[in-house]
Amino acid sequence: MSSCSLHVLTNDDDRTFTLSDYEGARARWCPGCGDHSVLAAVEKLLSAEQLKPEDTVFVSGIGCSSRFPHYLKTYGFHGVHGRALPVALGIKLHRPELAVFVVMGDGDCTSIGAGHWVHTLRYNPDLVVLMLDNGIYGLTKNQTSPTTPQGVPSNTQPQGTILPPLNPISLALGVSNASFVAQTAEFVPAHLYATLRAAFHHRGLSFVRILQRCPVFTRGSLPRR
Amino acid sequence: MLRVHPAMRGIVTVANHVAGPADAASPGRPHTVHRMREHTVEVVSDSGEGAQKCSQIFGAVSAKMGNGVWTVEIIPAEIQPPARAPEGASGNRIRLGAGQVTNWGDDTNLVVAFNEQVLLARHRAGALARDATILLEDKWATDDDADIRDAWLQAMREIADVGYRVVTVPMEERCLTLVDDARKGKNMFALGMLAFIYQRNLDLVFEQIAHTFRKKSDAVYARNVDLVRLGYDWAGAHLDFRIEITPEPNDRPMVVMNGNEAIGMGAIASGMELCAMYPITPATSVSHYLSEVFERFGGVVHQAEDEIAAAGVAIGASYAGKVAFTITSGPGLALKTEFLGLAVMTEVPLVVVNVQRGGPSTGLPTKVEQSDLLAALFAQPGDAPRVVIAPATIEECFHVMTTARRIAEAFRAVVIVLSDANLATGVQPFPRPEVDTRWHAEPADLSAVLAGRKPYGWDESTGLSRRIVPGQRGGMHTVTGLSHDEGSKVAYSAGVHGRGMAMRSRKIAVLSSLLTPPTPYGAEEGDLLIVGWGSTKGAIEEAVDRARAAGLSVASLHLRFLSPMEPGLTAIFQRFRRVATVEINYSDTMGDPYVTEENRRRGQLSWLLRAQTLVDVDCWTRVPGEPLRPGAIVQAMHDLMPPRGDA
Ligand SMILES: Cc1ncc(C[n+]2csc(CCOP(=O)(O)OP(=O)(O)O)c2C)c(N)n1
Ligand code: SF4
Repeated sequence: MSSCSLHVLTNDDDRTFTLSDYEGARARWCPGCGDHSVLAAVEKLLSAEQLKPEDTVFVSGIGCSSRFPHYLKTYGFHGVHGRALPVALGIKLHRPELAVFVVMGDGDCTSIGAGHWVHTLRYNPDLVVLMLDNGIYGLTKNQTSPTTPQGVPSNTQPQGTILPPLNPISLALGVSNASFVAQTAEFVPAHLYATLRAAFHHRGLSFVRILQRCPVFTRGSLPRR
Repeated sequence: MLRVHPAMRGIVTVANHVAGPADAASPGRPHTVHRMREHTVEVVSDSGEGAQKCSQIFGAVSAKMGNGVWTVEIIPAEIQPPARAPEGASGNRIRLGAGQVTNWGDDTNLVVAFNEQVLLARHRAGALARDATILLEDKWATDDDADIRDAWLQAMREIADVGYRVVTVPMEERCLTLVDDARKGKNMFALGMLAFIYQRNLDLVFEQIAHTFRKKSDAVYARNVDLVRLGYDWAGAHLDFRIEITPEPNDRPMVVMNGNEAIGMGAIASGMELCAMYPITPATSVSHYLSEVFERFGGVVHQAEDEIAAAGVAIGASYAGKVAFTITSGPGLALKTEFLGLAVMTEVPLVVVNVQRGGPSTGLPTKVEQSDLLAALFAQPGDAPRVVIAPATIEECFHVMTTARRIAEAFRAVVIVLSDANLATGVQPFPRPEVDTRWHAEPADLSAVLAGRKPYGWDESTGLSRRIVPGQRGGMHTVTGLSHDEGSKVAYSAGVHGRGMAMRSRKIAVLSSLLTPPTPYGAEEGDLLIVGWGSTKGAIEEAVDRARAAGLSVASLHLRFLSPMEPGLTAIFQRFRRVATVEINYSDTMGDPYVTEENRRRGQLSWLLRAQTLVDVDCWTRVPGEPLRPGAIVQAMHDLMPPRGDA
C-alpha cells in the first residue's frame, strides 16, 4: 500500500487548494461542541498537505461526530453505527492510492464497533483513524459509553456511571501490530494539529484518541471553552 | 480366515481370497459385465479415512470419461465423531449415467463400506436399493475385541432380510502389505476396486491423484498409485462382475467441478477481484478456491473478523470503484443485514453469495435446505429492495456470478445469489464456458465529473443513475444511509424520502421488464404444475419425466429470479388446474393440530407466489437435511393431483 505521504508527492496538476476548497456543508454541531475544533484542525491539515479533494475519503459511522464527512468537500462515506473501519479497509484494499480517514465516536469505536477496532488495528492498513471521545453518547442523548468516567450520571445510569472506564489507549497498545497510537485533546489546538500531522505521515494505521468536549451532556467533565 | 456366522449365510459372498503376492498376478475370475444406463455408488467410512477423496477422484475420472455424474457428500454432523459409529458416516454418493445426470437419484446400487456401522447408517437412512451390492471391510468380523465382533453380528442380523449382496473384502489386510497405517490407505484401495468394477481408465485415475495430492510429496503420489493398483488387482481376482455405462457421444469440451468452485471461477470471470468473508460451512470452500488462484494471479480474499465486517469491506471496495462480493451462509446473512440496507440506500453495487444450509440458528450446518428465500428478500428493517437469483445447476453457479456482477453494477443494486449445500458440494460436468467479453467488468471510470451531474441523478422513469467514485475530479460528495436527495444531501422531508424509495424500487421493476417469462418443462398446460427454485431442478424434472411416462398430466417450472419475480407467471399458472411448489424448507401440513387454510405456514416460494399472483399455490416441502429424491417427488405429484372434475 502506498502511504498518504507518498500520495502527496504524486500531485501531477498545478492546482493549489485553500481551506475553502475543503469546506463542505455548514457544521451543525451544538455551539461549543469540540467536534468543531477537530474539523478546523483537519481542514488545516488537508490544505497544508495539499491533498486533492477527489483523492481523499472520510469514512464515518453514526453519531454526532460521524457527521464529520458531510462538513468537508472531499469524498465521504457516512455508514452505519460502529462499522466505519471495515468500509475504510475495503476502500483502501481496492484503491490504495486514496488518502482514507476514519472518524468515529467513543460509542461507535469502543462499544458497538469494538471488534472492528481491535482487528483493524491488527491489520494495520494505511488509515488515519480519529476517535472523537466525548465520554458519552451524544446523538442518542446522554447514555453511558465505555469511556464515561465512573460516577458521571447519564440517562441510563442516573445514579452515576457504575464501572470505571475502558482505557482506549492501553487497549490499542495491547493489540499486536498496532503501529501508531496517540492521544490528544481538541482543546489543546497546537498539540492536536501536531498529532494529526504525525498521524497522517505515519505509514500504517494511526489511531488517535481525541478528548472532546460535549457541553450539552458532559459539562464539567472536561475543561469549558 | 473368515468365519461365516449363520446370520450372514445367504447374504454374504465370501470372496475367496488367498493372501499373498500371487494375488496381483492372478488371472482373475471370469466376470459378468452388466450394461447399465446408470448406476449409483457410495463410499462410506469413518470420518478421516478418506472416503470423500476416493469418491471425488472417482467422480472426476468418470466425468472425464464422458459419463454424466452427480455427487453428493455424506457428511458427519461432528468434526470428530467416534470411530465405528453410524453418526460418523462420511463419504460420497456418486450417480453415474450414460447421459447427463441432474440429481442424486433415489437409491444406491453399490456401496463400499469401511466398517459395518457406517453401512448401517446408510441402510437406516433408506439410502440403499434392496438389491444393492455391498463391498464391506471384513476385519471387524474377527476383531480381537469381543464387543466389535458382537456389533458386527448384530449389524449383519439387522440387514439380513433386505436382499443386499454383501461381499466381504480384506481391505485392511491387503493395505498393510504396502503401508503401516491402513486408515491412510484404504480409500485408495477402494478407488482401485471401483476403477476395476466400472472399467475406469487407470491413467486418468493416476492423473487425478496427482492433481488431488499436488501439495503433497512424490512419495505420497507413488504410494497412492500402488494402493489403487492393489485394489484394482484384488477386485479383478475376486469379483465376478463388472459394470459398464457407455457414455453417450459428446464432442463438446467439458469441465467438471463442484458448485462452490464454479462460483469462485464465475467470480473471477466476472472481473470481481475482492472477496470478503468469514468462514462458515458450506460457503467457505469458495474462498479456499479463490485464495489459491488470487495468491498466484492477483486479487484479494479478505478473511474479516466477522460477517458484518466482511460486508463492510466488500461495500467499501465496491464504493471505491469495482464491484466486490461477500460470501456466507444463513447465520452470516443475518449479521450482514444492516450493511445490506446501507448498500441499498447508498446504491453501492454489491454481490452477496449465500450458500444456504439448514436453519434456523446453527441448524444443520452441513446439510441442504432452502430456507433463506424470504430472508434474502425481506430480512431488513425499512424498505430495501434487492435482486435475488438462485442458480439451479452447477453450470449456473458459474454463470450466475457474471450476471450478478453486471446487474449489481448496472442497477447500483445489491444482488443476493442463493446457492445451497447440495450445489456447493455436488460435482457435475458441464460444457466448458466460452469466454465472453460481456462477462468482464469495465475499469472504474475516473474521468472528471461534469458540472451539474449529481451522485443520484435518478432517471425519473427507471430510477437509474450513474455512480461517481472517489478519484473523480469535481464529484466529491458524501454518501449516507440517511434519507437523501439526488445530490446526496441529507433531507428528512416526506417528498425526498418517498422519492428515494420510489427510485430504488423502480430499478427492480425495470429489471423485471427485461426478463423473459420462463418456459414450463414437460407440457405447456395440464393438471398439475410444480414450481421449484434452486438445486431441486434436476430432481423435479426427472420426476416430471417419470410421472408423465406413468400417465400423469404434470409439468414443472423452475425460477431463477426470485426478486424481481420472473414475468408471466399468472398466465402460466392459469393453464394448469393446480399449482404447487416443491421446496426443501418447512411448511405446516394440512391436518396438523390447529393448522387451518388461513393460518397455515407455507413453503417460502409458495408464500411469495400467492402474494404476487393471487393464485392458490399449494406446496409440498420437506426438511430431510438431504436433497429431494425424484421418487419422492413423483409420489408427491400423485398426492397433489387435483381430483378429476375439480375445475
Ligand atoms: C445499530 C444501531 N444501534 C444504535 C444506534 C443508535 N445510535 C446512534 S449514535 C449512537 C451512539 C453515539 O455515541 P458516540 O458513538 O459516542 O458518538 P457521539 O454522538 O457522542 O459523537 C447510538 C447508540 C444506531 N444508529 N444503530
Ligand atoms: S450533543 Fe455533544 S457531541 Fe453532540 S453535537 Fe452537541 S455538543 Fe457535540
